[in-house]
Amino acid sequence: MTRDGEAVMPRARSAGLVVETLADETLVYDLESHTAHCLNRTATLVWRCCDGQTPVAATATRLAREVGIPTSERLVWSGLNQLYRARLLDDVPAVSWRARQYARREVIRALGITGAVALLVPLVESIVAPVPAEAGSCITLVECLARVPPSCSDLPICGVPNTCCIQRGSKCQSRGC
Amino acid sequence: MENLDRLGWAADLRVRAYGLPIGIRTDEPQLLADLARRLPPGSVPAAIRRVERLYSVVGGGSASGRGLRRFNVVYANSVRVARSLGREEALSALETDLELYVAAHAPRRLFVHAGVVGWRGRAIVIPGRSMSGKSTLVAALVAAGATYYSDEFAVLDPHGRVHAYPRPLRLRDGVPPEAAAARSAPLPLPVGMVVVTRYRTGARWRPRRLSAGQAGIALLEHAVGARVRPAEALAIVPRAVAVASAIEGARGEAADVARALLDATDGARRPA
Repeated sequence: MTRDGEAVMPRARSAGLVVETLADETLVYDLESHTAHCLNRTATLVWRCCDGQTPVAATATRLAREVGIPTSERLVWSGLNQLYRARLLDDVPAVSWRARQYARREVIRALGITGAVALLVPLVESIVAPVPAEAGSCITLVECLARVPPSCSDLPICGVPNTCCIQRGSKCQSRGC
Repeated sequence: MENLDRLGWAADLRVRAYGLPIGIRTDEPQLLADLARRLPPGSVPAAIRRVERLYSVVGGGSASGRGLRRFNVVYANSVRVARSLGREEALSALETDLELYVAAHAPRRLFVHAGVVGWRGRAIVIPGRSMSGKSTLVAALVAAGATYYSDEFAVLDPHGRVHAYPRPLRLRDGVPPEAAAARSAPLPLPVGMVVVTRYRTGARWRPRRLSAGQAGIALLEHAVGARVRPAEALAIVPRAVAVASAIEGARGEAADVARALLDATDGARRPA
């Protein structure tokens, strides 16, 4: 147990988020950045423990009990690292400074975790929600030419085989793709 | 908009598309039939006084004797979405804009850019951007016996079921199977499998399993209305993937993968 593990009690961000629970995972939509995140079971537990009152060490103990992974503060820091980068924690300098040292891959290697147990290591996966045009399948040549970089979209031009709307210099143009 | 209203409009269409009241007016009545063909599938004529989206189409007419040509101009409400000498290009811009508008704003529906087929009472949903090979894989699945639902959108309802988007399958290369002509809308289905894949020359089909959350995030990544109605999108997606299995991997030839996908969907069936 480390001194930081006892002293640091991170707090989860709650404002501007839409949260849905999905079995033991969590989907989070950030209304400010329009990013969506999927927290696996362990990351979900870490996030739930971020109530501003639970020390990292206590979270590590709870993870070991509920998920069945080794008791390790490094796993919790790894989760906090990812939650912080996903902007799902309130900005606590001590957490951000500490957590960056605990990339997920490093922690898996350091703890010698292999096989299916690796799936239990905290994981936060993120995507940027598309604007409607990005989610479409093609845009017309007229629309393409009317666009301004960087929103050229790279989408195919409707009705013109093998051409896409691609940035060229300061303009969007149809080019081979 | 007032300036547009002052122009002489000779004919109009009023329809409901996925619950959204849409109007289209034009100064050339002969354009109406072409415009009607470009409406989203399932659009129905409606006697509505007030529309949320009004398209104004100024036709370019036929070339005059003096060799002058007028532009075809399309406005969505008061915003110009196309100005082109080519009529097909202008109307195609209207079609795309209207489709995206409906996809982003349809009430109680979440449109996910995806290919969809039905297989033994379950939907196989293949989310992905253009050029990822969705349509080719959908065509191969249909050729292998699946029911065509869409090569463009998975239309999810609040229960997470997939509705067809019955537009004929369009392939960049090749001819789609006869069964993909989308004559009528089949029944909505629960999602049986989410397939995240992309064509890669020579790739061996060795997919890895995704969790329900990862499947959900894959759908959100291609959900047209995710930014417009995030809370609704986040409510629908978990229901859609609740009983689905999900896999991810690069694929080679579509025909080789199609049979494996249908078998995997059979093998993954779980009680709802």
